[in-house]
Amino acid sequence: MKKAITAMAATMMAIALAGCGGSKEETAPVKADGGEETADVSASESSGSKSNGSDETICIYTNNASDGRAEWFSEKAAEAGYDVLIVDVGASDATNRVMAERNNPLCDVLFGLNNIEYEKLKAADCLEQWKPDWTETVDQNLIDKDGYYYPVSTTPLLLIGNADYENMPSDWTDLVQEKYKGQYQLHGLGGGTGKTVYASIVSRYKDPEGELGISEEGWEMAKGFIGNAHDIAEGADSIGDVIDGTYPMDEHWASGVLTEQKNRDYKFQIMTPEVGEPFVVESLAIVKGTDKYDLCVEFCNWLGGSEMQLEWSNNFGTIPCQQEALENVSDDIRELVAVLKPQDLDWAFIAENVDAWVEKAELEFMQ
Amino acid sequence: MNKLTAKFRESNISIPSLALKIFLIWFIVTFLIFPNVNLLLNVFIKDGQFSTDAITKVMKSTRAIKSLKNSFILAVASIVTVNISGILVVLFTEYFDIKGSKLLSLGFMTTLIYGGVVLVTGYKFVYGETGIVTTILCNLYPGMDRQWFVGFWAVLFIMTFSGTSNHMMFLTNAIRGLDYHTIEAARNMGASQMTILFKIVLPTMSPTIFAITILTFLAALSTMSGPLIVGGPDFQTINPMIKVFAGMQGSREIAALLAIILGLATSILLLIMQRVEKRGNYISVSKTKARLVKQKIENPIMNVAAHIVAYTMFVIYMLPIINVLVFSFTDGLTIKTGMITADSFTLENYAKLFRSATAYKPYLVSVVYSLLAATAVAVIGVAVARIVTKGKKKLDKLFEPAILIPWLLPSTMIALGLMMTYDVPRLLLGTKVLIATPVIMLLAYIIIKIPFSYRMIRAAFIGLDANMEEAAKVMGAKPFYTIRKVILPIIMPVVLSVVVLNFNSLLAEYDLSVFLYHPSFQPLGIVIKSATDETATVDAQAMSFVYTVVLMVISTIALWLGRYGGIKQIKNMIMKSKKGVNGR
Repeated sequence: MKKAITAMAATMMAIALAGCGGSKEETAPVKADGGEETADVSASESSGSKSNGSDETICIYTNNASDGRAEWFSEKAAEAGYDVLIVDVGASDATNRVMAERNNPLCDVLFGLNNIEYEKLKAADCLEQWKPDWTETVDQNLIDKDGYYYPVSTTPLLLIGNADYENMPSDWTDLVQEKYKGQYQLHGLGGGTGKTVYASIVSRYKDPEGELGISEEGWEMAKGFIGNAHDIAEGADSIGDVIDGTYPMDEHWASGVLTEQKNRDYKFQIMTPEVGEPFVVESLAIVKGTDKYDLCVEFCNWLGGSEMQLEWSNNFGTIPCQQEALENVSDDIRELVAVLKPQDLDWAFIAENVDAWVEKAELEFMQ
Repeated sequence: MNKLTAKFRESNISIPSLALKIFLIWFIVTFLIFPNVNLLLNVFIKDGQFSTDAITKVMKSTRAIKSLKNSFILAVASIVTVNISGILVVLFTEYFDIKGSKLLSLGFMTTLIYGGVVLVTGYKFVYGETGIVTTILCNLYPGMDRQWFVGFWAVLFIMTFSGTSNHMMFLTNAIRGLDYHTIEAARNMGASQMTILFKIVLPTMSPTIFAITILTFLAALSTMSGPLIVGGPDFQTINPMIKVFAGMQGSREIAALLAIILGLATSILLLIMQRVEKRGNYISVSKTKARLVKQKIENPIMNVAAHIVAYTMFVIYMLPIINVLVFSFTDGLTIKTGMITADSFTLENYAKLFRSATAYKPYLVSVVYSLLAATAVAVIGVAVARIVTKGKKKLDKLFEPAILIPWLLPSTMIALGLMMTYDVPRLLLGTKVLIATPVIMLLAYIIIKIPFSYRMIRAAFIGLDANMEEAAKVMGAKPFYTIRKVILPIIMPVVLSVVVLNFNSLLAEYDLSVFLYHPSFQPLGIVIKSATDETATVDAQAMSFVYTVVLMVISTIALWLGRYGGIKQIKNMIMKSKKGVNGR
């Protein structure tokens, strides 16, 4: 027992020390080959120089890795001849990590983050400009004008309601009315869903003179929207509460709505505001300082391409941005997409201010 | 040269202890002070000016003030209730002669192997709308509100019975170290059982109780899951807010400010406790300690009452964990709705655990990291506790506040401090860059566990009999020999308890790991989070239950090895089998 522990400790330490002096090349291979890592680390360490071609490992930070997606993804990548190392990390944590690692970047490709995060990274000079070979076949409005990040899939954020609920509002802004008090559930503003919906409402009231760039009216609206809501407690069954009518409405992401409908054999009402729904666009980007730029571009061409995105959708219910893929997705996704349209949002403005807006809401509006 | 050695001899400076001190000072400056100060400066200084915006913002926020108030109410209340239940639990299992105390102690130990969201959800299953207790109560009192288990009392109830881990570990050690002669002597002089308990037993244990009180206070101040899940709109606490703000670049100063307020409150309590501690004398005088004999409660009514209380508590402890075990075999929908039917049961959750061939790896990574960190922390804790309790110089006492720094900041910010400081070569580290190396997470694990470990080990040192050491010295033992052969064996139970508790709590660590882990070494916390991420999977909660059960198994093994003589038993078994072979 003691020996085993000592041996493990020694191995860890050796790796740790090697890592300390490490340069960018020090990225061990995928977890597929458990025991051999130590050797590989030191090998790449001693050689010190880049090996050529596609036998290099691409390190990907993504919030699209949970629920078996990471395993599926690395298998697919391996079939296509790419050696990938997937780091499963939430969107805002991924941003924090990339920013903090600026002087010693570990990550090559960012995948799945939304515009808010990419705009922050862009402003912090953490991204590399590039251009995939599939820009023609995606919605041009979703592409970053400066050419840093490109869309792969979208997640509309919706307000769903109990099938028999009669007062379904026509827009998020209706919810501030007295009759909706405590009738709708919101997710925490720390997470992507809650934050984006909130930003999509607040940013409608842009006013350069106003506090944090928002007019007086906008803040009234924000206060009502947050203050009127029921906050979803951790572990609470928000969907179940919609179905049994405890809280007849819920803020939810589209793919989740479809799975819940299937699992619980239920059909929700879906609010379709005239301005459209906030579409979270999941994009691809290359991190500044990568020494495998060309390989990354080639990899992103493959990952964001029609074929791969269709497979991804068929397996995990995403809504692909590629036209051709979108035409071939499953029926329930196509039906849903048909009734939705993306709200026109100023992402740069949102990215710049959203943290301050959330801060204000957390401090002043939440109960 | 001769002069120098003479000087050394004169001033009683030993080279090894000087080297140790220099190392500790370097460690404290490099990992406890510099990164955190660097972060705070970064956070509070905006455009070259010290910003007090955070204070105004917090003062203006009714929610922040209310949450802070709630946190303090909960902390103060739980000091009382957790100490009562914790002391009772230890008395029932170690001091009084209660029938079936072995079984009871197994029940009371359950808090050592699970916690957080899963524990609170377990309680919610029992006392919530669809829970068994609620159903029974509703049958007794029709018309009762099924949603009764919400708000302050619900949170306090959960705290009271789930916060006794430290009592179970350290108070048990303390009571076992009690000298039975003192009790016998008191009895011979005609003291009643009550008098013995309150005048002899509890006072001797008070250094440990003080230390545990601080930990309880801190745990209640920074509790997350309890208020979030059963607090309801009226009883939310401050830590969820701190966490949200710590994760947002522009709001970190508020997180830091709020955390510092909590930290200062803890420091004040710490000071008060130390003052009280100084007044007392906790060392039992006898040189030949006798083993404690369990006390039968003489008063028959009291005896029956004690049994009833003990077994009621046992049921309270067991119901949630049984629920967790049962629900881990059901599908996600069952867990969400809390309704079990015949076809709710499935093994699919467990099957998912081992779907890929490399599924074992995160376990290995986390076990290695946690073990290394827990061991390193224990060594540092012993060294500093020794210096602080033995040192005569003013400077020696300064180790204490320095080593408690990590209590002042939430773990997210400690991670960020390390990342922001060691992303460039620094002289303190011999110009090594820490970021993006496997070692940074290990350091962070060590850092966050230092204050707790130090505080518990210090309590053990306070209760140490100085005469033993003197005797060793008189007989010519060198200082390090004395530590190894005399002091360490006495404090070893506490040190091992610290190691086990740290190991268990680091196994599924997430808050720090998410920022610091190296992609090649994914720790368990990350894997669990990704398997239990609600946005990705409907079975998220089922998976979090399954992982909890797996962690329970690992934690139980760790407990057994570290605390309950597991290593010895294994050794004996090996010896026996060897003997058996030789004999033939």
